[in-house]
Amino acid sequence: MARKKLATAWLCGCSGCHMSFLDLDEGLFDLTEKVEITATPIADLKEPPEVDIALIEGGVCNEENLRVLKLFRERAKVLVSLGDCAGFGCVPMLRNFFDKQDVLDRAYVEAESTALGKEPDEEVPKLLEKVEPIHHFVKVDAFIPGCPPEASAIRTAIEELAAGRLPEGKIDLQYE
Amino acid sequence: MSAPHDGTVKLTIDGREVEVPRGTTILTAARRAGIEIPTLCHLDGLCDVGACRVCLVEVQPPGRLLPACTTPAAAGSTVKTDTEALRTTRRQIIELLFSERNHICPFCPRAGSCELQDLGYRFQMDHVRYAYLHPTLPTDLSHPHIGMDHNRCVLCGRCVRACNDLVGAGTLQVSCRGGKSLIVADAAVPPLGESSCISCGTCVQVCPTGAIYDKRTVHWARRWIRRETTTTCPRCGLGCRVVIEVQSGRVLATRGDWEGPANGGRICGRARFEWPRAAAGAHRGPLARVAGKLDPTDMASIARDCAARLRTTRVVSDPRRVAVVVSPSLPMEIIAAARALAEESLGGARFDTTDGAFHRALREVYGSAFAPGSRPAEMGIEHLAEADLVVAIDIDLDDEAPVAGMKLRRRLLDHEAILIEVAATPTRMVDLAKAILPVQTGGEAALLAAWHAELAARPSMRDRFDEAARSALSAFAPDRIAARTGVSAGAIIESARLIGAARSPLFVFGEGLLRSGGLAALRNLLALARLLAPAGRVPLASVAGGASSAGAALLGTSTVGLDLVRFEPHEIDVLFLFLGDNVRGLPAAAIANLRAIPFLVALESGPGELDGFAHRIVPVPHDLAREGTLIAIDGRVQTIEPVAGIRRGSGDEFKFIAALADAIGRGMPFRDAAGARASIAALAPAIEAARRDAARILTPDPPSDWVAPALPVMEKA
Repeated sequence: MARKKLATAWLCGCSGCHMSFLDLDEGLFDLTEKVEITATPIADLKEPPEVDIALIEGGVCNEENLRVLKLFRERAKVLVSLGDCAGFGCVPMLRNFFDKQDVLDRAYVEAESTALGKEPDEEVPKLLEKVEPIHHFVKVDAFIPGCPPEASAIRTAIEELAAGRLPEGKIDLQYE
Repeated sequence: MSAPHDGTVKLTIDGREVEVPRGTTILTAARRAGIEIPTLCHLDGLCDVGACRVCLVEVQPPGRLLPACTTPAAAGSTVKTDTEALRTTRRQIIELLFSERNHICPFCPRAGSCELQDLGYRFQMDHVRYAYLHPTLPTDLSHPHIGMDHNRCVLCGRCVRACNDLVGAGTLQVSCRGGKSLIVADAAVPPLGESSCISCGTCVQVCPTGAIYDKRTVHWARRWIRRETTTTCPRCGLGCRVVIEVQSGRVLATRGDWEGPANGGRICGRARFEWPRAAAGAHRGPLARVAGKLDPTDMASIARDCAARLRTTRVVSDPRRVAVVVSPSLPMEIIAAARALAEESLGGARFDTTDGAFHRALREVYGSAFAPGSRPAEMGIEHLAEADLVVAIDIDLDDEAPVAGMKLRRRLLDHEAILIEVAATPTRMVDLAKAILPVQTGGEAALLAAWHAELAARPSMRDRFDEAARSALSAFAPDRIAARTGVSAGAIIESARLIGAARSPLFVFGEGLLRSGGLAALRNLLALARLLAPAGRVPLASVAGGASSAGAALLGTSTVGLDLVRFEPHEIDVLFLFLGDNVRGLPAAAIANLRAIPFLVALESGPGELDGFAHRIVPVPHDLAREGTLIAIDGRVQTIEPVAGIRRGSGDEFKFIAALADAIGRGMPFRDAAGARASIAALAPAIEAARRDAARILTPDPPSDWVAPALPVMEKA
């Protein structure tokens, strides 16, 4: 049986979900017998080809997050929300209680360590007004909750998806 | 099952036929049938309000979803509690709760022990389909112990109902409407820390989420790594059952045990928030004062030093120059051991408890109605549940027996009782009092006499007094002695009218009445109580503050005791003071007297107010590390169990007593807790009988030959 293609992305999260993925340790070798890992933050390839499964860590906080998310959605047959930032917004969402400009000023103008003394206009992607979970922007086919999800939960999910099984029950998304 | 009759209804729940009394909610009916319905705003013991909708069930008729907690079971109806549609609906409800406020579980100390989060898992909420409202909400950290974070509030109202239904404080309410609602104190005028809050923390105990929490300890340890022990609280005489949560040797939280017979889940702020020594983990070895300061020593040296003091001619010729005084907050075993030390090993030294003067005064006033081995012939604090009028004299129940204060508040709010408060300084109960008599210190006997005279003059009472008695009573008529009470004649007459109209009055008092009113006040109180209840037990409830006070009173003190507040320091050469935790401290007058003692040995569990002048300090276990027997003021015999995770330390009273007995070459009849229990059984068989039956020491009716004081007296004894 041909291996299914897997890609992962790291948006507005702490990378803890990917750390949990790496916690599969030698289990990763077993996994590669079932899936081919393509683009991922832990490999060189960053932009995915057409894949069967995409795991997205992190919510959406800036224009680059949104671009990457939409790219993954276009190229993935099954898009999976990985962890609580992608699924709920979680800790990065605490930024939503402040005005966006105040947040930028705090980081780039007021912060003791800032060298520039002003908001960067290039290279750093523009912040969106709010941090939001990914299903607010694209259709999501499955959710793996957890902060971070257990390594075993990630493996089980990938194995199930590679075998062509989606979670039971209708995921009636409000945002599409 | 009996045949259905008018009082019951039959319905079908999940295909099972259930018969319950009419008026039973669907939730209760289902539980009785062993069917569990998920809930959030429901809590046993609180009234149900149907606020959260988590317990929605399908009911036919009328064929729609109804909350199980507030819908009475209807005859012939069919209820379904667990269908796919209900699971979907419940998940939606949980999602709506998550979207309404700012619930960010990884950021919250209640994560892992949160009822909202548990429901999220239970209904497989792996994301929230609704837009987050992200309201900007305040946190109220104005209270010294309690934090309130509205971001995590689900508006279930459990705190509001607990504050009102269980505590009777009514401090917490809901302001505004709908999603803008906020839990507030005192109609949102002050922050919590400046409100009428009595700081019992019941709101912390009932909050299902992280919205109301103990500010000091909430972040110290997740709940599941805390070790829990259920034991009896030693902080007052009520004997509340508590669950103590400990981690790394520190007390992180205390909850009222919902099954506790004296408290039903309630506890006071002292029991919930204040365990300073356990928190600090203060353990120290034996100390001796050398050149004015305390130096480390060992138990044998202290015993030798004591023995040398005890061998002086003056002490040998008069053993009453030596005294052993015990805190009544200690277990009965320690009290019995201290008693044996005084009477046997020290050859008749004085033995007393710090509240012994109060018990001796009661004994003197009650006479044969305080028979040895039984409790005084009072209705007791348990009568609060039935009294329709409570007179609190010189006592702040919120301080001396806080959970009894909560129960009284509830009765007052339910208009089941009225309160007359007699106090020089108003207590926090004053807002609920029907009458407030600001009696001046020492004026209590006169006030009670004036009530007596006023009540005796009522037509129904007249034939109970002969001419001479009527003439004697006329001297106490309110208008004649009002000036001696600090209360106006009109107020005395009006309050006497309330007392006379009561079906079942109860007078509650404590050591404060003896301290400021003297023996005459106790005598007049008893005379008044007898006037109102001519037979059976008297409508009085004496409240002594210690966890073992009721038992210590049964063991009795030596004839010449040592009242720390009133004694002459030059009468004493050596004093052994068993204080344990000494949480509530000693009165200032006692401290002043103790400073003048030539040789003071303090047995304390940690640093305290005697450190500046005690000559020897013997370490003893913290309250929470002890095991033993406590006797509540309602006579209930209870055990305390050592709390898991609290270090016991090396010292204890038995070791010291044994070392001392050996050093002075006199025997000690027993040297451990088992021996102490045998000694208690011999001295007070009622305690042993009650312990065997896990019951309470009964209060006997007064003996038939008992003569209560019939007329008030005037002098301050």
